[in-house]
Amino acid sequence: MSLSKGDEIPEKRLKIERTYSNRSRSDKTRSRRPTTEELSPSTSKTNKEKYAGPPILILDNGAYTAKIGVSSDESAKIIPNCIMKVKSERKRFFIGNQIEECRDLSGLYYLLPCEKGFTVKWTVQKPVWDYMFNNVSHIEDKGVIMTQPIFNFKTIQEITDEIFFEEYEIKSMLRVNPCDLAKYEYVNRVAGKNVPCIVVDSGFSYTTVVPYIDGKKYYPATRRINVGGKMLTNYLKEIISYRQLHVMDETYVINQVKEDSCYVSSNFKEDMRIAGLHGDANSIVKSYVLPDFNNIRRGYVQESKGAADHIAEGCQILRLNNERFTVPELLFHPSDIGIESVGIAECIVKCIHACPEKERPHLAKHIVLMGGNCNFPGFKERVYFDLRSYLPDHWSVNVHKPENPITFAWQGGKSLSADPKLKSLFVTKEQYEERGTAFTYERFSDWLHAEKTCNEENPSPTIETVPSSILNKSNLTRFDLFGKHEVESEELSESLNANSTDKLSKETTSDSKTDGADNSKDNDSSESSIVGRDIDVHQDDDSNKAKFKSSLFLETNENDSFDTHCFSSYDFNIFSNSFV
Amino acid sequence: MTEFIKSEIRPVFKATTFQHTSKSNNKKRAWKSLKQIISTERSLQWPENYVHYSSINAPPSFKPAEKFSDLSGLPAPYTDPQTRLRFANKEEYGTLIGLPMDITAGYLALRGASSIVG
Repeated sequence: MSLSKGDEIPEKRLKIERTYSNRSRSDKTRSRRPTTEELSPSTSKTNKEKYAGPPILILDNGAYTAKIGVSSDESAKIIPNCIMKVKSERKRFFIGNQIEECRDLSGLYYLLPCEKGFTVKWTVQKPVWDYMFNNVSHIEDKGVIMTQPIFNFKTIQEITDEIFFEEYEIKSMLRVNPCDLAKYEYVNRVAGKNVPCIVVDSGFSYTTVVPYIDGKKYYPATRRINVGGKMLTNYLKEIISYRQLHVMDETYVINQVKEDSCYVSSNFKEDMRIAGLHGDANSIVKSYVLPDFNNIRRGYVQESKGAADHIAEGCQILRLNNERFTVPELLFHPSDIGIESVGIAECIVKCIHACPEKERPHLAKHIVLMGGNCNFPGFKERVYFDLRSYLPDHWSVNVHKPENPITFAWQGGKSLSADPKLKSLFVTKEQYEERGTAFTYERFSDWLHAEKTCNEENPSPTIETVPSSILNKSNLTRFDLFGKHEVESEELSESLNANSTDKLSKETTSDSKTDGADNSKDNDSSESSIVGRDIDVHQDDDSNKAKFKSSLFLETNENDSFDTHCFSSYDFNIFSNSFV
Repeated sequence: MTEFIKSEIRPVFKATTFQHTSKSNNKKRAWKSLKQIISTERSLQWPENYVHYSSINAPPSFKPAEKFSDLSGLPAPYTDPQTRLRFANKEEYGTLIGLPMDITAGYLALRGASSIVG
């Protein structure tokens, strides 16, 4: 017995010593770091060389593509964040960029892990992550910076924690909003100082407009438009199917059509007039050669109509007229397809007007565009022109579009990985094991600590409305990096108590709140009608099979016979050929 | 002697072959749809003026929506009262009146105008 004890004790002692020495080392490095936190590109480079922690994996987990890479990589690898199936190889699932191995991409089915930008289909997400961490960037013994949408729900965060800490057994993790990373990159690399700015993230599922004041997200003015690249592709697919050629099951190809030929019009009325002309006067109409996956692997815009295109002979050709600019126009006028919402430019204006008055002109000077939709030609110019006409004359308006808007958030993560403050933002595996998912949820959900504030009618600065019990704590430290509050657990419970008493006192007079709930209910019903629309169209197609020569619906039954070994608990209803 | 005590002390309720189930891969995860998640979130008691997922939806625009032809996408000054489809010129009207019901309904749905009241 004594022997066994003797065996154990030194081990324990060793452990204690090791952790102690670790801590002291990290403390030393922290104190040794320069106190000037202003990170110009050159200093951050030297910081990066000094960074002694584990190597860092940065994962911008978008709803359509994941941007992944280690902090030492030059740029991110863009991997489709989905599982795909094709008609030509029925037995095989293509995970992520495995799809490059496939020759015939007609009739591509998508299995997307996200719904409206939130990861909900874990049976899809997990294999994609497994694939990426095995084949693209290894995750073992690394710290992970991962992105999540604003207001990522608790259940989703819990599952993410579980997967990363328990199954991948990573060392430490940080989940941030991609807008935060973009803001970090913009402030440090472009503006050079901590300026207020607005980040517009126009992605696959939705578009968010997030203002940053004093380096912190200003939640009361944050807005989301439920229009993203997915909706544009679906819309283009539908109008082409009705006007020319049945392409309802060719989402992948139509997505390429969108990327290759669509543009944002700077003068919509004039472009529309030109699109109405006949013959050579119409400079907008273009022919798009669809791929046949035999000679042509990717479709392209036919440049000159007169010149004989030998490859394109016998190929299907789409004639794109006003579709080229009316589809991206949905970003600016969602009301064109019955979505009762403002467009991007108007939304930015509303966002600016919901911010404190003295910050408004400064916000207009720093507008950052990111996300895949920014790659439409003319997008930046259009945002600028619209803002210029909406905002007062004496304000200067400046719109910044980064070189690569898709990987801009990833680049922000890369520069953040060299930041000496990073260590204090991470939640380590030990912390997770000690304090559980509630701790990580509280840590990564900065909206929980956001200042409760005004609505649009009363856009005054809002410091007064923060419970004084929170503000008066002297030992409360704030991160100026993301505006996260480091709240000790006692304080937290106190502030929670304060909140709950606030809530009780205000419950009786919460008329405006119920109004808000009604509003959101309306919005939801409009959303569901959007989702339902797809289905409606499908049903119409079904009844018009002869008209459209539809082959899709004959095959839906065959889906049931797919090899299901890797998705035992699989619900085949989620098989869809469009981005739903 | 030590061995004897050791075997006595060893807790019998701990199986040596025990493995944590959460670490195996075939654990079934709760798969809630986003709608369920949002509705549970909405049912929570939020403090007044608290910003959460549903409250950052962009407000509706004050500008009236412009009208475009359902068939060609061009600006449409006219609406067919029977099908409620919009059209730009008389040629379009010619094709429009020949369309079967389900197609016109599809066009309306595409524009998001399929509801009866709208």
